[in-house]
Amino acid sequence: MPLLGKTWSAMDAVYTDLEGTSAEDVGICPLREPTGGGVGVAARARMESSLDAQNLISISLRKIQSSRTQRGGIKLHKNLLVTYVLRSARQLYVSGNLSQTPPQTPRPREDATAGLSGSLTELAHDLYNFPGLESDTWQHQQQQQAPEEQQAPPGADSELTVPGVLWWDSNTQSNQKTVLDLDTHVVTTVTAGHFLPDCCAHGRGGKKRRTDASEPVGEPSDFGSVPRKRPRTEEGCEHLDGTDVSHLMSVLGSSGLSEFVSWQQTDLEQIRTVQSISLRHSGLTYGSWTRAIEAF
Amino acid sequence: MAGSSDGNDEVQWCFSQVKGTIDDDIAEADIISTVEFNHSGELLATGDKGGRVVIFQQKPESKNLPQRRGEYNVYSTFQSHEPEFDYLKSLEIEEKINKIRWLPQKNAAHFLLSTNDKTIKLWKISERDKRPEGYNLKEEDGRYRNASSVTSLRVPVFKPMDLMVEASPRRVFANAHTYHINSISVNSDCETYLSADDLRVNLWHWEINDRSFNIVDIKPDNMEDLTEVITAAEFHPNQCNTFVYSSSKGTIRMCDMRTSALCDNHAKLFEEPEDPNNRSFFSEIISSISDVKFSHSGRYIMTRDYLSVKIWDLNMESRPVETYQVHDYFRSKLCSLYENDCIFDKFECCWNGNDSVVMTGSYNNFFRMFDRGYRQDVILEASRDNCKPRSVLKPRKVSSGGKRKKDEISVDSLDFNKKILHTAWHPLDNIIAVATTNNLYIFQDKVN
Repeated sequence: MPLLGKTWSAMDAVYTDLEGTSAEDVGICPLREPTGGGVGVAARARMESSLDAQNLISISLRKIQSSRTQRGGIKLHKNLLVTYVLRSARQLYVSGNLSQTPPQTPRPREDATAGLSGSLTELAHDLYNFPGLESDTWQHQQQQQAPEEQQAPPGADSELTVPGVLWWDSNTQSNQKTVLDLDTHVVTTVTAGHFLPDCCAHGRGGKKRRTDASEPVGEPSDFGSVPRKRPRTEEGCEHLDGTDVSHLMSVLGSSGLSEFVSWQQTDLEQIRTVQSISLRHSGLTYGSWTRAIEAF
Repeated sequence: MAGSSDGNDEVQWCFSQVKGTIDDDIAEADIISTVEFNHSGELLATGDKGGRVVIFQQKPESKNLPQRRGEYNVYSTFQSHEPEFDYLKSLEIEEKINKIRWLPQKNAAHFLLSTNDKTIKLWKISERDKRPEGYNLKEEDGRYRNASSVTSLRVPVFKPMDLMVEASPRRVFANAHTYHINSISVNSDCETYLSADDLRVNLWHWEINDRSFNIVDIKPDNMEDLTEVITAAEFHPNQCNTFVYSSSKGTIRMCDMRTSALCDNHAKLFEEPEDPNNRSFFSEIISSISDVKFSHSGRYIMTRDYLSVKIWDLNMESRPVETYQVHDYFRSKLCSLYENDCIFDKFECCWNGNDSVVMTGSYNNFFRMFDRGYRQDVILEASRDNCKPRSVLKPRKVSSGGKRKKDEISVDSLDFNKKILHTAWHPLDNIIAVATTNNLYIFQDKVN
């Protein structure tokens, strides 16, 4: 398996400091604007790094999702490391997003440690059936989300109107959510059910990126032929999986990273029911479920 | 490259044997997951993803060719672990053998510990070359005779038979680990051993399988506060009260069991400050320690993280005394390696018999040796192309950028599907066992 052609050193370099760095420092976006265009170069650099962060977020969440179905159960060590990457990418994405949103747009209250503290409460609960797991809380949240999803503005991109799962910033009081759609690899920010204008633009860009990143390089090919036999509680998931169907992954309690929610505890039938309701209301006709991950 | 013999002579490594199939289509069950020499080096055990253990035995040196070391042939093969299903948690438990550790030999039989994610088993491997014949109540084929037909009494005698090697499970140590077991280590007291999972370390007695003592527990009260996991643990080779465990944050903690029953408070913490210039998205991943090994002397600890091998002096906690870059040319490729999951590969490392050389694996079926004394290192390749008996392995070179010289391999040409994660060094001799995906290569130094 040869290395991917794309070089990621630029994205790695971006992590260290985004604010106040020029594109040259960051090592990306080598185009040099004419005099007076320095701001445009920096903005472009930030947008590129933001898109790279989106891609990294997408990859990370896919890994977390796939870890749920691999043999042997969820690997605590690997998922802990993935959450570190996710946190860093999310910080970069949020900071990049902040610098691009217009001033009148309410800004999310940023917290570098919001949600992604690296803890894996729900993963551990998933795997080890710890007592006290609040699956009821999650189901309640899911049902609450469904009406919100139906309130998406009609003018928004239809593909973006069914986000599925939301990425909560647990420390914000505003109803701001970051949504990842795994089919389009678009990370968008939703405020009170409405998409921010910049995020719609990102969405269209994200669609283009999908063809580049849709190869399942992140698939756990190491695990080879995973037997079709699955734990009893995941049988509903198989029905969700079809060729056009993507997994619904929900999680996220209000307590932040708490996980990829009790995969084991989830009533998947309820998820499907809720999701199908929201899809029908949004008038979607394409036969696939929107793959989404709700993370912390 | 110094070995256990005269350190001034540079060791040349030669191909000796290769075990395994040649097929390009690799069955997942055949993927080797652990390799371990026993204490004398006579036996070499491998475990695979299919839960099997294969033990090779070194033939005695030939009298005709006293300088050529004996070959390793299959001694015993047995199914150690089977796939299981935890119905309570709806989890499948893999049969993959994570670790094998030999017990010190006390009699003619050999004992080893093998573990998968959840269960440790003690196996006895014994030879049978005699069988009793002349039973009074049984026929030779084992059928019971009619008691009324027995008219005389005789004493059964042992007659020689073809050598048969039996592997029998003597103990099963189960239900003590909630998380995935990553390490087992036999204590020098010849009575106890430890097993470590992601969050806990347990102490066992060989003879007692229904209870163990928890000696390390890093599970936080609130799992949301979890920031690191245990990645490896090992007992000190000489001090039965001392053990170390490594973490995903790149730290090593040494614990003394004499201080308290629960060794949550370390006696020593080995940690190197992070270089801020190397900070990246993947800093946490590449700093995670995948293996920790005491030197045979007990003076040093070797750790392996994704890009380097570090040697720590037990008397200095602030930084390693030696650092060797295994494949630093991958530092700029971390994102790709993250995407294809290779960044999560757990490489092991090992010492040679006199602690002068360390060895670890890499990609493209490369493995590296670092001579601590002469500050030399070499990249060698385990390949079917170099399978001529006693052919000397040619050192390999990797071109990290710019103009590629002749015989150099470009970084972008390296095959990440061919990885050497498990290596072992004979405790007394210059013989190494290197596991590729499903083949076991045995190399030895060239004997003039």
